[in-house]
Amino acid sequence: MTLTIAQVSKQYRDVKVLDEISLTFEIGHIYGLLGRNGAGKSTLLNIINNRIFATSGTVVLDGQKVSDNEKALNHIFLMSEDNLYPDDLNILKLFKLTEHFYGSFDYEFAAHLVRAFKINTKTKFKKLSTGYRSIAKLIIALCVPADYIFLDEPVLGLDASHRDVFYKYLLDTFMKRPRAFIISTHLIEEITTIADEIVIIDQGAIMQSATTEQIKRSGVRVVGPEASVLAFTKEMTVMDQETLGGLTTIYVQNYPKNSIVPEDLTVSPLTLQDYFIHMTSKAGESNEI
Amino acid sequence: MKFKTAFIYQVKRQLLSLGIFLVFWFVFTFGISFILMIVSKGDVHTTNDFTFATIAYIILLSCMMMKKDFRFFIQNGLSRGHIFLVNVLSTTLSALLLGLMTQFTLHQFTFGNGDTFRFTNIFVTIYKPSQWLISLGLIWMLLLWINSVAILVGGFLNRIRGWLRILLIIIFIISPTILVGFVGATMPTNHQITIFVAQCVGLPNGLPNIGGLSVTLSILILINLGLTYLFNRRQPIVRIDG
Amino acid sequence: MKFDFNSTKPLFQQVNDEIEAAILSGAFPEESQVPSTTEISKSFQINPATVLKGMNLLVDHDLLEKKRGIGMFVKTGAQAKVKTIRKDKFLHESVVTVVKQAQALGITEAELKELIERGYQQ
Repeated sequence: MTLTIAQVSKQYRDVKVLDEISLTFEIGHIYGLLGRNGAGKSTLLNIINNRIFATSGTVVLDGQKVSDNEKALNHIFLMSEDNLYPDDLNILKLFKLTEHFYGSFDYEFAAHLVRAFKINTKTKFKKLSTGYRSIAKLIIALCVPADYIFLDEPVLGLDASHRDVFYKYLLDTFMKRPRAFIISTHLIEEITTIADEIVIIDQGAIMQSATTEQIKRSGVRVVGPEASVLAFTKEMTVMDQETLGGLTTIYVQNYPKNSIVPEDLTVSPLTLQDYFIHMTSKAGESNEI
Repeated sequence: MKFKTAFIYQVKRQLLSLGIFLVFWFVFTFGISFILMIVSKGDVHTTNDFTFATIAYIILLSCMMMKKDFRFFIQNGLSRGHIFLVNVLSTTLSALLLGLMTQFTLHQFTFGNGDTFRFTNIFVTIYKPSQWLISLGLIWMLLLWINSVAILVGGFLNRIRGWLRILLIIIFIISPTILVGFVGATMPTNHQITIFVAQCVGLPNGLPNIGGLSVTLSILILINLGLTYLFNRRQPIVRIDG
Repeated sequence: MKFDFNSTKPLFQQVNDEIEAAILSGAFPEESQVPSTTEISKSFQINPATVLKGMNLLVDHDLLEKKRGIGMFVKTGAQAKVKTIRKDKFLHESVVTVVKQAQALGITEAELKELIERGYQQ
């Protein structure tokens, strides 16, 4: 099963929110969807999940257009930041309705999650705190029979130990029943080890789509005297630059593997978070502070 | 699977709110009527018109469907076409039940000396349907028509914004004048316009004609539903919380 | 086991190293079963594909063996083998680095030797 997003654009009057996005999502991977605020992540997820319409381009699941197509939509599920559930129903009732809408529901796994998160299924949705609303929506998202699960800011309002529980159970269910999880989040550090594929969106366009490992291998930080750093990185793809007195730091993308580093320079790899920050920073932004 | 679930869900919700509505309404009207009867020592003749309450309720139902149910159904992967169909079917059912309730109250709660206390429905008063079933049909159709107007207005306000909305509202307001002018030009006298309008609302020569009214209502309902479908065909989810 | 998620060392390599260390210390004795991919993945919140990659590295190095339908087991002689691998790594990587750093700081061969001798005596 393949979900293909082909040249999807979204325009609101004069503002182009998404610009010719093309991507494929495959079963058996956990994708981290990264982007700064307003980069267009939620817009993309909303288009894929039939909540809004693209100005142009298509979303196709195994040759079938997804938009307003119930058969295709039954394989796709979005847990979104804003709540679309009727808030006067209790959690158990929502489980039951979800079961009827999608054909089945993993009650056994849901029971595990209910116990792990200590959530009362008799509580009405509107009586829940922000964190527990996220939890209720997460439980539903992990128990629906869909194959593509999109999670938009899934850990919003969850404390550290609840986040821990969530990641554990996410991996657990992922291994038992391989699906595609697409997680959009600001907590990059937490997703680094969980996602094996990373998609970086900036200003409505795909900046990079690669495996987590490729990205971690690709980015380095070169530190040293300005002239020497500039000479060394002259032929490389520079993402960002910082100066501190005479010391210059240049952030490089696609670092050539067997480069010979001059004595006066230090080259060190970047964490995914650093890579993301320097890749999506506007020119000179970090120097203006 | 999705369609059936959505339909059952919506009917259940509507029945539940219908029940709550009726309980409140009865408690309220009976309460007031009894107070009046006690104060006046049974001397007063009380009538209570059921029309406004049912109209208010059917409009409330439309609002519920447009806002909450639409969001919930989209979350669960329904197509917009099916959501529209579910809405139409479940309101048809609710309107029928509401019609039955009206009929029931019209015939059962006439107590006192026949006219000390009774429920009325303004349309039944005007059109004087001869049979129980025709009376039910009349109320049902009127409720459906009001509902179709409500969802059309909702769909319009949802989808059309800015200057286009203002323009269309202005056109809508002045259109009767233009229409009358246009019809006036094709028909020789004002008298004929009056006859035409009277026939449309089912009151030719001031005498009730339910047949004429139901033809007009059917046409209007179909037009409203058609337009609503077009408005909702590409209806997006609007973010409300953030 | 301990993983440094901010480390620049690839995660699958860290999985490999940690299991190697456990074999060396005897925490995972020879011929015993090691935790499954699922267990490691869940406890340390690492993508199962990454864990599997690290485990397969150990299979390639003849330290683990797959038993169909049961799981992964530490091979006989694995502990000695890890010791050899680590010794090699130490001599060819760590020592070279130390000498290089010493040279950069102007420490002579004699000084370094003396320090090493002192370290052994303690």
